[in-house]
Order: sequence, then structure tokens, then C-alpha cells
Amino acid sequence: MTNRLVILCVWAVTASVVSGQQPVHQRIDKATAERNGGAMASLASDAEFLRRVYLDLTGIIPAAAETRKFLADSDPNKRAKTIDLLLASKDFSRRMREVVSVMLLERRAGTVISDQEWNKFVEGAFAADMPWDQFVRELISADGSDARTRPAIRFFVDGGRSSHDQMTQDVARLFLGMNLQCAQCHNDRNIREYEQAHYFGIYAYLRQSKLQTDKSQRAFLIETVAKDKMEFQSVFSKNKQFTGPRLPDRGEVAVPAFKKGDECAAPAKDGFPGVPKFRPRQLLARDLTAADNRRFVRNAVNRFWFLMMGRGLVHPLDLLHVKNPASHPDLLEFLVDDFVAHKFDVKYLLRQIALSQSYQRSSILPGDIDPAAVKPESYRVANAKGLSSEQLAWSLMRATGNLERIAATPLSKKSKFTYKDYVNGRLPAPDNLSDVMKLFAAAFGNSAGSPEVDFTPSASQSLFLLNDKLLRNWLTPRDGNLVDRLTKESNSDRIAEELYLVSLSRLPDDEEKALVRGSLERHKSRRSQALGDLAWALLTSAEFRLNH
Amino acid sequence: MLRILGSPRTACDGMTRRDLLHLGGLGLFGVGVADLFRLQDAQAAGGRDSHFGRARSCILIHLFGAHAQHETFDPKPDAPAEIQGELKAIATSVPGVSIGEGLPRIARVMDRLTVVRSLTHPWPFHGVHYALSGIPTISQTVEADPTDRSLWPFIGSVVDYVEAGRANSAPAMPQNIALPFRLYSRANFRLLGGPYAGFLGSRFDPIWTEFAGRGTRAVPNPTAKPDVFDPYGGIRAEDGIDLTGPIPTDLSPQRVGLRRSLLQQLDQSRSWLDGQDRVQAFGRHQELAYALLTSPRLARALDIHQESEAVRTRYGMTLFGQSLLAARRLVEGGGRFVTVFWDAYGDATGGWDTHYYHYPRLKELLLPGLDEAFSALILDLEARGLLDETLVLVLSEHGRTPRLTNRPGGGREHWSSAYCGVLAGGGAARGGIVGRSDGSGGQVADTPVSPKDILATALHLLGVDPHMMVPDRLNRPVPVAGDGLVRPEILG
Repeated sequence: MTNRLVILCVWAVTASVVSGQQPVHQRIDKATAERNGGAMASLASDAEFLRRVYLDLTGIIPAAAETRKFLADSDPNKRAKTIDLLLASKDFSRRMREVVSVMLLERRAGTVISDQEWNKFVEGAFAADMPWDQFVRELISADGSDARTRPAIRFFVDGGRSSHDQMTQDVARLFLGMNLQCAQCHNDRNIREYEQAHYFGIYAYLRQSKLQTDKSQRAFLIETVAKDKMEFQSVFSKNKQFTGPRLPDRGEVAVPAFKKGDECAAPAKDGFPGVPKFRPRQLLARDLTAADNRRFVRNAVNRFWFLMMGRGLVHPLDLLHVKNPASHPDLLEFLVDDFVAHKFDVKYLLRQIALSQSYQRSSILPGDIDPAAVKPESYRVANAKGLSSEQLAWSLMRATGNLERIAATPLSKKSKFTYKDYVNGRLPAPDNLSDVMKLFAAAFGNSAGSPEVDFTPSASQSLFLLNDKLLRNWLTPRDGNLVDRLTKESNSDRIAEELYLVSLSRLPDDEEKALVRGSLERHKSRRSQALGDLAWALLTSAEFRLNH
Repeated sequence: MLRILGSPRTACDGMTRRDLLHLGGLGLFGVGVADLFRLQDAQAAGGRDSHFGRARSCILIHLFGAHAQHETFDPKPDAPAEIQGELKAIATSVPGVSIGEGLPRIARVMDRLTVVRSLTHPWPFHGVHYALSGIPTISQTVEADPTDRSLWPFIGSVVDYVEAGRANSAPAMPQNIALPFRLYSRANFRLLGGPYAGFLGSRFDPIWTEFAGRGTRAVPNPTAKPDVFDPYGGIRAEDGIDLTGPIPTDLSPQRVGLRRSLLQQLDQSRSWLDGQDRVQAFGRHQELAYALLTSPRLARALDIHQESEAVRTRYGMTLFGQSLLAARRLVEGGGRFVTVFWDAYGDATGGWDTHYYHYPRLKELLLPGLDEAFSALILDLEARGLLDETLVLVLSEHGRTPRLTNRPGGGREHWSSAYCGVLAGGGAARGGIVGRSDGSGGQVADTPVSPKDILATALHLLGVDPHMMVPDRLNRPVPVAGDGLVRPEILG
């Protein structure tokens, strides 16, 4: 313990000397310490930290060898080094693609842009460190004519966002943290701040957008000529109101009046109408992502914070308003300024959070504190987060030693995998990455169109792990997978070590070693089955299912 | 107080609500929930009226969106046309009592029901959480968050919690199950709060079923689209309501048992994680998964295809009808609290939220579906001798405005000053009307009843003291039914 403290002090001192002022991660810790309301959990052990940071930044548990290496490393700076290593890895952009897709598309499927095109676009953006504001600008402004940004039109055209109402609501909810459901018909009666004019101000930016296909059925998200302001009316009033494109708290964009015939910058062509001079969706991309649009930046910071900490500074994530203040208002505003100062660098923001002690806290409270009395927004203890369906799939493949084989299996062109066919026994267990991911998304993800924010365990998910043939196949010895390797090992302590390292990313204690030994001795006659059962029990435990 | 706990028998007669409050306060110093249960049981044995605990189980029907009192259980045949609307009143099997003409089958079973026509509260905005928990006030932020653990528990979660405190082992049937899918999960919008366990912790959230089928009939809808196939308007006979896909059986029960015990041992050595709510919820669902594998009672109870075609048709081949049938099978199989939502489908103002196309939706979708399924449920429970021990509730967030609007298709807006709900069976009165609204159906004229009173009365009938205190997140004692009172008018 003393050792650990010394290491931490050295680390903290080095960090602050380098930057010359209080580093951001320390400001985070100061802010959470000021409002914790009681004793905090100690710092996470190395094993606890490593598993957490792998899951958060790369979406997969560490391989056993990586865990061994990290635990044995005596470098006082090894945590920060690991964070940087993971942020620079290819797995980071994959993880962000998964996170951002689930957040923005909410598991809605589409037909215009394929998964492959979308994935490549999003992963490419994160691999190239594209700033968040630019990424969102491309999502909003893409019309499909530019090859590089064409996949971005998926945000609007796929995923059930064909109506201008749905587009309006989702832009407000996902990029401004404002759930304007009620404001579609009237000023929100409970959240004064959410006005109907906000709803139609955003609507006015989007209402010229229209899906149009060319002769070869390629779809484009064009804009038509805007003639006047948006007219709307509250269901509680007879007065008609008007608004041009306008974002909450920002000025209204004037709708220019052109002479008839002078509205377009380019003439009609190939069945497409002329390209208007005034294109409000392009202006939305600009205005929404402006650095001084605090709602936009706050929402972004809050969502990335949530990703790491398991609880938004403002919660629920889509109800940012005065009456629902942040748990740590000063911290949120500080992080907003800092995010802007660092040019919307997502990697930078995640790195600062990961370096903080608030992030690196243990998920175990000191024994005398009742966990039920500890609020998640106090960050006194690490909030356990459920593994997403992607994290779970990757981690199970890695733990059972089947990842390399599955990743190397090409997707058959003929594959028409659906979850329903699979659970009804019409299809064998999938053996390629794409179908495995589909299966896990269907078994563990929410239904299309509902946000995945909280961990919602269900009996059917437990049943899937308990009983589905996929996991049972993975635990059948073959080609050097986990159970195959273990059957060749005779020393029960080494077996226990390997089992715990691959599944829970930590070493077993003596009691756990004894448990493994006892179980193997009792089931000598069916050794490989017994090994499979042990691995299975570890992989279905709460400790595996959660990122803690 | 400790003396009282030491000999509950002698204390129970004189136990007052104030004492209970006092005891709840002691919770801060370590008087556990188990003591509260003990006290409560002792109290039950002492001075309860004969209705306490009369209902073995409860089927709660929630008409999401809020049904109009005028067209359902509180028609106003003497009011002007802009209030009464298009639909007339019809006589029922109770002399002098009439209900809306869209509910002829329910009119015939009226002598088994109690209608409360004087429900009232101050929050006309889809407060599912307000309607179904003891929470005294709400806001839209609160109603929008299913995960907010500082909220008060849903009545089904309270019952589940009390059962868990009394039972020694996990029940084979979930005690708090909700059909047909998570509330508002098909409404093209974020989830709504309400039917969740709040500060009791997510392990007491209801177990939700799933419905994988789709609608077979285009129905009138808020946006007047021609092709909205709402399953509440009709489903295919082969579609079912289930927890998951079919449960495979190629794993032997012995092996399942072995794995379960292994897992328990492994988990035991990691009990430090147990404090976290998300861990507890996970553990409880896992237990249920084991129960499903080793005893497929729940799966069997949910399997409506085991019923004869005649019975299934009687409930109506709609998602609502088949959900009520599944609910009957669940209480028959030992389920204690079953909730069926008539939920919004597709549009956020779906379900009973008839701001638009009020009459087409009522006449073609809502009233016939409710009439058929609810009357079938009452008669079926009665024929099976289950009505006396099964409390059936028909509730909603609020009512709708007396005056019709001239929105497309006509509409009624939100209104909570006066609205109506229904109770049947389980010790509730039969053929009774409680309370009265004024000539327009807009204000309570007689015997106001709070939605909390309905919860308190339901808990009382279910053998749970509605004034029982449970500790919230900060260990403050909170009465499970808020300020609700048991209403003798409603009891049989």
C-alpha cells in the first residue's frame, strides 16, 4: 500500500511539472472530491484498472499476456503509458465507431448506406483524429455527392429518420441534449426552457431536405428552395407563429428573398432540381457545431463523460436544462471550455478523464459504507457499467480463445443471418465476425430506436449465455482455444491462474484456486467438460458481465 | 420501540400510523426491513378488516395515453353535443348505471365491477410514475427517466419487494411481470419512466416480456397514415408473447444445476460487488434464467398457444387481448403482480392519447379491443373461480377534456381534474359506482378519490400494509402508497 502511495505521488508530481499548471485530470479530481458527500473508495488495483481501461478505450478485455505484463511492470508511470498506448491503437477507432454508431443510429438498420461503408467512414474519422465538431458537421451537411462523406448521409436517411419531425427531434436530443418531444405541439409545460419555437427553429433548418434517387437508384439528400419562414401553432392557442432557422439561444437565420428564377446556384440537371443558393441544412452544420454553442459542446462532453464514468454529469443525457443541473456544474463548464480549447479532440478528453483518480477509483467501497446510500453521481466509487453487446462479444471471443479463428473466417456472400432464424433453430451458430456481432446485438442490444444508456439485464440475456449453443461451441476444445489449452495443462493452480486471467483479467486468490482444484478433482472422469464448466461459470458471472 | 419489536404480539393492537412512522425513523439506527415486515405481519394478525389480503394476485391494466371518461365509464348523455360527443350511453347489468355505448360486453359484466368516477389529481401530463407509485409530486424530467433510482417504487415492485422479504427462496414465478413489452419501447421515442422499482433497486423492476410479431390490420392513427399496422388492432394467431426465443433443452438439468452451484461459489468469493445496484439486478435475472431452465413454469404460463382457439378468440386476436389471456395464465400459474400495458405503438401520441382522430380511433380500435378483452377476462376468471382472489385494475395517467376540440378527426386533450378507473374481483365491491363527476365530466362532484387511494386500497387487498415504510436511498422512511388511504367505498 505504502508502495502504491509513493508511486502515485511521483506520478502526480511529474504530470504537473510537465504542464506547468494544474492538469485537467487533477481538476476533475478536485471537483469530485468537493462534492463526494462521504469517504471514497481507494484507487483501483492494477488489474481492476487495466480491465476497465481496455473495455472503455478499446471495447475488449485485455489478453492474458497483456495483463501479466502490466501486473509485472514496475514502471510508476505504467497506467498513463497504457492509456496512451490504447488511445493510439487501431482498436480505439473501432471502439469509438461502435460507441458512436449505437449512440447516433440507435441500432436502426438502413438500406441506403451499407454497414461496411458507414463503419469505414466512422472508423476513418477516429483514426484520423477528426475533431468532434467536424465529424458532426459532416453528418449534418453530407448530401451524398462527395465520395468521402457520402456514408455520413446514413445519419439522416437511414435509421427511420425519413420524416422532418424525427430529424428535428434527433438533432435536438443527440447533439443538444434536449428532448423536444413535447415541444413539437406546444411549449413544454414542465421544462420552461424547451419552447415550441426551439423545435420549429431546428425544423426550419431541415425542412428543405429531401431524399432523391438518380437513374441508378442512388439516393441523395438534396435541399429544395426555401421560400418563407416556418409557420407553426401551439395546440393551446389559435395564434400562428413564424420562425426562420434558429437554434436555441441563438439568432435567427434570415431566409433571403430571391427574385423568381434567381433562387438557384446551379440549374436543374438529370432529373434533380436546381441547387438552391440558400441551403439551411448546410447552415445548421455550421451553427450547431459553433464553438460558442455551449449546448452542443456541453452535450458532447456530457456524453463522453458518461461513456467513461457510467453516469452523466447531467442525467438523463437528453434533459440538459436549468432545472436539471449538472451534479458538478463548474466541472462541466470547465471541461466544455477545455474541450473547445483543444479543438474538440475526443481523444484528449477521454485521456484526461482516464488519467483522473475519479476514473481510476475502485468499484469496492470501504466495508463500513452502505453502498445503497452512495449516489452514482458522487463518483465516490467506480460505477459498474454493463458491457455493451459489442464489448461482450469481443471479450467472450477473446476469453474463450476463439477470436483469431472467427476474425479470420471470411463472411460468406450468401450469409443471410438473422437473429430470429437463429434462435428458432433454422441456422447454425455463426462463425464469422459480422454475424457474431449481429447475433450479440440482437440478444443484448436494445430494440431499434431506443437509446442504450443504462444497463438493462434480462432473463433472456442470461438464458442466452447460460444455454445458447454459440457459447457452448466456444467452450468445446478445438484448435488451441482456451479449453483445448487447459486440457493439456495438469497443474490445477496454473489452470486457475489462466482461467482467471483470461476471463476476469486478474489472478485468483487462494480460495478461488482451491475452488478450481476441488472442482477438477471431483470431476476427474470428465475433465474437459469440467474445465468448460469452470470457464463458463466465470464468463457468466456478474464480474465478467460488468465493467467495474 | 425495540421492546415493541421484541414482543410484537402485545404491541400490534395499539399500533398507530404514528408509531410506524416512528419506527421508520429508527431505520436510521439499524432497524432492518425484516423487522418492518415482522411488525407488519403482527399488525395484520391483530386488527385488520376482513378485506386485508383477500387478493392473492393482481392484474393491473394500464391504458397508456389516458382514456376519455366520456366515452368509457362516465358518459354524459344529458350534456351538450360538444361535451357528450358522438357516442351515446347504454344501460348495464346494474340498474341505473350506464356506460359508453362502445363497451356493450363490459356493460353486461358491470355487476362484477366497481367504477370510480371521481379520480382526481393535479398533473395532466402522462404521469405513469405518478399514477402507479406513491410519489407525491412529479415533473416531466422525473417521468422521463426509467433509471432514476431516487424515484418511488412502482406498486408491482412494492409487492415483489414484500414477497422477497417474506419468502425464504426465490420464487419459481416472477412476482412482478409486465406485458407485452417495455413501456413506450415501440413509440419511436425514448423510454418513459413509471413502472420501475426506483429506490428499491433495479432488481425489483418488472420482468418484461417481448412481442416479436407485428400488426395485421391498418388502424386509424394520430397522423392519419394509411399503413400503420398496430398490433393492438390485430395480430397473427401464431405470434406469441415470450421472454426470449424457444428455450433449448439439450443441456441436462444436472449440468445446469452443477453450473449454477459453481457460479454461486465463484460469486460468493466476490461478494464485494453485490452492493452495486446493477450487479443485483443482473443476479436476479440470472436466477430467473436458471429457474426457467430447471422449471419451465413461466414459459408454459406465457404460452398462450396452449389455449383453445375458442378461448383465444374470445379475448380477441389483438396484442391487448392475448396479453390479458397471458396475464390470466400467469396468475393461474402463481404470478402475484401482472401488468398489461395498452401502449403507444409507432407514434408518440398513440395508445389512448386521442388528441387526433378521437372517434375513428375509439370506434375502430380502442373501444372494441378493450370491450372484448376485458369482458372476456372477467368472465374467464369467474368461470375458473379465480375472480374472488384476483384483483383486476383498469387505470391510466389521467382523463381527457370534457370539451371536444376541432383538431383533425376531433380530439380530447389531457385532463386530470376528474377521470375514471375500474376495479374488479379480489375483494373489491361488485356492481358499485364510487364518486360522481359534474354534468360535464370535468370536476368531481362527490367523493374525490386520489390515484394514491387506489394504490393503497389495492395493496391492502393484496395483504400489504399501504402505510408500510420502506427506506429510500438515503434511508429515509417512505410510505409505499404515499398519502393514499384505503377507501372503504371500494371494498366489497
